[in-house]
Amino acid sequence: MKRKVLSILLASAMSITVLAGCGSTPATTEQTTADSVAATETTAAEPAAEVEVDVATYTEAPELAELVSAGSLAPVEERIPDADNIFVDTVDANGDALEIGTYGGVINLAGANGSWDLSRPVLESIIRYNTDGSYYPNVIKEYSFNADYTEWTFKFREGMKWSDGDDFNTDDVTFWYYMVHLTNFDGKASWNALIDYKEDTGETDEEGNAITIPHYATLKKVDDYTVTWTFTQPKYPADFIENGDFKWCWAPSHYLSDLIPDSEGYPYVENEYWASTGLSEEDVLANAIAKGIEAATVKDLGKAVSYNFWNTSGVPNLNSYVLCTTPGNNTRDDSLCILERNPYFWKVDAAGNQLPYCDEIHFNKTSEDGQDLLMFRSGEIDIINIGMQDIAATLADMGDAAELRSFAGTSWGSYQVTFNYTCKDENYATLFANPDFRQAISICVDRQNLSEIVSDGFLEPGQCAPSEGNFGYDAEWEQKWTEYDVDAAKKLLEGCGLVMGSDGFYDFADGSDFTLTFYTYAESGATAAYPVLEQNYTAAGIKCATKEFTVEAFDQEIDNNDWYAVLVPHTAIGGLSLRDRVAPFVPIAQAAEWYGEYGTWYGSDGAQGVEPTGDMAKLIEIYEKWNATPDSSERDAYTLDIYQVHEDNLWSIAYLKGEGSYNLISSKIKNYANNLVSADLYQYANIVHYWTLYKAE
Amino acid sequence: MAKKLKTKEDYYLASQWTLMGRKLKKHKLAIAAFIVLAILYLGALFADFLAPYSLEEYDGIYRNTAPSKVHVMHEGEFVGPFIYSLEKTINREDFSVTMSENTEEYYKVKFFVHGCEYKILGFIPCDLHLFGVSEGSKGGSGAKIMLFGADSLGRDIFSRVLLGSRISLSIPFASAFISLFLGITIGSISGYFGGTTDIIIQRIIEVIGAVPQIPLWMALSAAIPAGISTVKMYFYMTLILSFINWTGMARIVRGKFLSLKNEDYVMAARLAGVSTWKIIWKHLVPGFMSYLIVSLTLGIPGSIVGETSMSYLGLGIKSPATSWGVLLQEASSVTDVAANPHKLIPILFVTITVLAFNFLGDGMRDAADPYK
Amino acid sequence: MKESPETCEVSTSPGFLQKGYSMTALKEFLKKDLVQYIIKRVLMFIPTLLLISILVFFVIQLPPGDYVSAHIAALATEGEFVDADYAASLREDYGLDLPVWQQYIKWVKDIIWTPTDSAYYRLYGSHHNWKFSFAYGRDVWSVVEDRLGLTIGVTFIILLFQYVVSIPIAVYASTHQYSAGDYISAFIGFIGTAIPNFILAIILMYLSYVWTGNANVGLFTQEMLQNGIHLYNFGDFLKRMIIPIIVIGTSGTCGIIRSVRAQMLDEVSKQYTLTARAKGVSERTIVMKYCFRAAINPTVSGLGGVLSSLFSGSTVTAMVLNMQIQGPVLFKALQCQDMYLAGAIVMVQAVLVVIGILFSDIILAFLDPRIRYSGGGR
Repeated sequence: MKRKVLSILLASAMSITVLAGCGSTPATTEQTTADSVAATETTAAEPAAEVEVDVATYTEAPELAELVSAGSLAPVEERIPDADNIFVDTVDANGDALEIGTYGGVINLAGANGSWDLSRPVLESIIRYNTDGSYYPNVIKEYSFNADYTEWTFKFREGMKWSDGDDFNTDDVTFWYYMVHLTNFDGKASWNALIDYKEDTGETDEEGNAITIPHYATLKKVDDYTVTWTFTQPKYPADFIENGDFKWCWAPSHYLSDLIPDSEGYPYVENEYWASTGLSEEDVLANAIAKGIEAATVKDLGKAVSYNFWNTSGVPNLNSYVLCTTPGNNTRDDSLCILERNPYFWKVDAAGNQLPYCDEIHFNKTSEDGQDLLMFRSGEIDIINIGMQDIAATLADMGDAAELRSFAGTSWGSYQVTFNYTCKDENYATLFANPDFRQAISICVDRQNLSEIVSDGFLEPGQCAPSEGNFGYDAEWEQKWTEYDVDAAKKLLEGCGLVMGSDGFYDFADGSDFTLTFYTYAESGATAAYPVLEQNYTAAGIKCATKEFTVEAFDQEIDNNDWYAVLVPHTAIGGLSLRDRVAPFVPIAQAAEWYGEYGTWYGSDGAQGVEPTGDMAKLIEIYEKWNATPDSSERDAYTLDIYQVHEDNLWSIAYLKGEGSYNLISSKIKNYANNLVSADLYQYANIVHYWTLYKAE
Repeated sequence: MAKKLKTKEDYYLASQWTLMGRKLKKHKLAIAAFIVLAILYLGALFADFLAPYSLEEYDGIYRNTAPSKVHVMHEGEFVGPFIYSLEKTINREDFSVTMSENTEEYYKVKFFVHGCEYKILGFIPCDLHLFGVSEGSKGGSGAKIMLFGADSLGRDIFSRVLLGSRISLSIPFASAFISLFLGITIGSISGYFGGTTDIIIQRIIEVIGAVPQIPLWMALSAAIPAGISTVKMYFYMTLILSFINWTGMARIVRGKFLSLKNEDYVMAARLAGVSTWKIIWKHLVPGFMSYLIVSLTLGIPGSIVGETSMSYLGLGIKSPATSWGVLLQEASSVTDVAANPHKLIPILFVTITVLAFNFLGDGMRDAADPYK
Repeated sequence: MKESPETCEVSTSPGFLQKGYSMTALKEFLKKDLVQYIIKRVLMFIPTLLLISILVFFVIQLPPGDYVSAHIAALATEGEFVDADYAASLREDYGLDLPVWQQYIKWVKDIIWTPTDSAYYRLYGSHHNWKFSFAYGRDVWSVVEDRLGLTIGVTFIILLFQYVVSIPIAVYASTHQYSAGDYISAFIGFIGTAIPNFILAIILMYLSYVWTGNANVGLFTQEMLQNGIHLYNFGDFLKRMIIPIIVIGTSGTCGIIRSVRAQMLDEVSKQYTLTARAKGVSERTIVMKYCFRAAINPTVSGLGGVLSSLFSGSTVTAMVLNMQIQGPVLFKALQCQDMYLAGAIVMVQAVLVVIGILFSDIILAFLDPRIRYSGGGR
């Protein structure tokens, strides 16, 4: 059904040839970071004019100072980079100046459930975004690329150290690339950012899928703090440094070197920097146990130590806080999971105080929704993500002890419905393809009433469109097909060829029964709205039903193309922008309901699925142009083109405007900005900059 | 004298059930419980008539509103029981909602009003409801009387409690009888025949009894196909609950058989050539009826509570169909407990029903006691 | 009808029955019959466990999909998409691509005995491979062990509470039948059953917040989770136990009160009681010495059931109260189809329940010799 990835063996063999062929890349004129900032939309985050910076001498947390005077820790000047290489954090993601904080205290958060939850407050990535979409180098000191975008240079910060005190340098970068990433030890060999081009072999596998061979970038170590990535094809920022997957390109070689196998499943990739470890998979698992890491398979081990590394106690990293080593508090499954201050963290505030301010971040695991709300009330949790319906009651109980922080939503409307445009049943497929049908489905619902019922009127009526404040916002689009008119809806349905049956419901022209069955999954929150929608649809003569699945079974149904309509899709149209994720806008992967099998077609290079036609094909066409240009204004124009196609078609209907996201914070927490943006590209809570938060007692 | 003799004669000739009835009357709490249950079951039977609204009358204005205030004085004048319509104001700063009464117009509470259509006992179409409000004093509409307030979709909780009782009161009853039947049959086979049959049955009972209920519930619920009708869901739930409950009954029955089967009267019956089944049902089962009744009455409230737990885990009846479990599950958020305590009213019904079944069961047990 | 030879034995040892628990008879009983009985019961234990393991394994597999599909759906929710190949290779690694019965046999075999030449033994040095929990990424047994002690401890405390509260109530109620005290004690005993646990738990936590400013969510304070339980913070731990004891404890008292009261009422009106009363034995002695001892029977025999309902009943409550016992872990494992973990927890709980039943049967056999001889065993 899905795209076959080529075998690892083949891939490594090919990358060896790539290496050999790239030995004599001609030198190209390089642009410096400063130029590139002007050339692309990148802007520096530090408006130094506003904040007075004085980092001549560093100050550290009292607990670290004690360790230093006891002799068990090196002095702060030796632990972090000098003034030329240090990162001075002066503003929050909105660009507002940060207050100079005080050391101490614990930030209590609710439990970490997903594999990324522990990383959100602490992960340090290659670049970092501001809420306006601009970005700046973060772990790297600067980056540059040549005129034709075939060579990228990363400069790292001299004097930076891993959280265990070991020096960080470009050996850790080459180690990550050749030993961890290309061997697929991290299970993520297909990061697009590092694929140079895909070679079509012209052959197909036994399932009829085309076999393509990816060729990867060549990484060269220039010196201890400089590397270059070389491609044969232009690698534009959108597909490289701005690619959301490409968050890091380093791994602690001193820690991981005895955990990398050289086996059939994870063969050594020939390179000039690292020799094969020669370890078998069992050796590696035994070495892992010696380091206190249990894993069922090497695949699990690789993921634990080199992909979701923040979840594994003992693995050194560059984050502001690292998982503690106390058993019982050192996994995200523990009732209390503790992240401790990284004594080697390489950021300081404007006054030269080493960050982070707070000693620890605690994750308090709870088993049910609502317990965290109670713990927030009791003061056991300081920051909590909260649903709109719970805000007023909590604030009423807490008074001045709590404050609300809103995050702008990026969703293109809530309570979306979408249809299977590649439905196996011809009758349905034809009907869904007709825009008049979608208009009828849209206008037959009394949005105001729905809003009152599901949200007390807080969510305003709207359409599937970018919300206000987001790129591409269009007031007209937001109100398209939103006027409630049942009679007009019935006329439209009749125009689609439906005929009213004797039971008061529409049937297909050939007399067969027309029932709109909405698939939902338990966590989607669709259950509450469905009965209200059902009343509206029934009033318009549409017979409908709902089937609720677990999310796994739901995904299965979508994958199998065994569905008609979906209420609250798992992957809805829309989001921050194409830069954030492409899949919600363009049918390129097997992920979203609104393009169903069309996405499979692109994802499998045409081997499976249904070839997109008309406007669906147009989306891909524009996307490919978008992907092929480095110019940001051109890309914006293409993005707007893609948006226009969406506005014309409205493949998903939304009934209400998108919901933002809300946090309540204890009033003791300072430096927590308001009106941030919650998006995947910004790594959600990461945009809060937890290392700059402090607690005022 | 003659009269006294007559009563005494009556006493000796009265059937076991008459005697039980007489003794039951002594247990005042049991009588009270019986009356409460009778009212609840009658309420369930005529729920459509008693409930002013149907399960699918949503109203955004009334979302999470507290019980309607019934007034009698309007602008200083007595007008009889009436309510005002409500107005909602929302505050986008802190997401609070304030409700206020619109005192310009009043809506009298009337009896036997016309409302949504339903079928009495499932077949006589009707649209009369015991009470409700119709149009306002100035011809307005839009006021709703919600004695227990509204839920998060603006539905009347009073109506939902009544309509939900149809499911909540009958599923446990049905499943208790299925368990009773399974328990007596399997338990008596096990106890009466003994030997290998007994060993096998005992193992099965032990296994079902030893495996925690949660995985059984989850697995059995997962086996129910998605998107089925409420009626089928109801049927499945009955089966699931009885499948889990019969083992306790079977153990009791078997235990009793073991101690009774060697009693003289059983031996006599056997020697007299009475068939095995007849011995079981005629001679043995009545001998421990009291225990079965205790178990039955214990089983019913257990199932009522079990149904609420299943709903809490998302395994039972699903909205818009309603049971008390669904209502409790919907009220189980901290915010509801803190800000909408009226949504907890259904707890009272569950509690009262469970208590009533327990008290009634106790009374019946005492009454059926063969030693008295 | 076959008469079992053991039944005949009853009549050949009338002395034992008549003399009651005289020392010689007791000795003899302990030496021969009880030992025999226990051996027989323990042997019965093996097929029961096997049956349980089969039921557990297949029941866990009943819901559609498997851990890999659940895992992939979870990743998708986090915004990570994986291709079909990754899923297939995961299934292969975890052995989920095999038929269920093969998975079952491998599972049971590895738990019973993992050979010395296996990779598992070389890595972990254990002959009992409970396999890996997919969700925790750890050896299943280490996950189970984490909470086993606490689960047993908490269950024991609650069990103790139930008996301590319900038996006096039952004795009082049966000796004061139909009095106001009878009704009130019945009400107190039953109210816990009547209010669904999960909602009672939420209400109590909220009230606790309103009254004391602390919601008492979970069994431990942050401080305990960091430093462990010691003498100095044991008081806080007991405070945290109040709500669980109220919620879970009271939900089970009803059953015990009822069966003890019912049995007591039966015994009070039996011939031997009347005889004793006629002979002038004090009412107190009759109740405590004869009736109460007889009435303890159903309580003891219900031990297994009480244990089982404690485990099951406490699952939902433990989830709502965020208690760090096994129930919530089990529920989560079932939800994401982490089947080896779920299987292990269910097995452990089942074994505990079966041991409970075994204990109660042995005590019963000791208390009432008739049961010992009545064929088959329970």
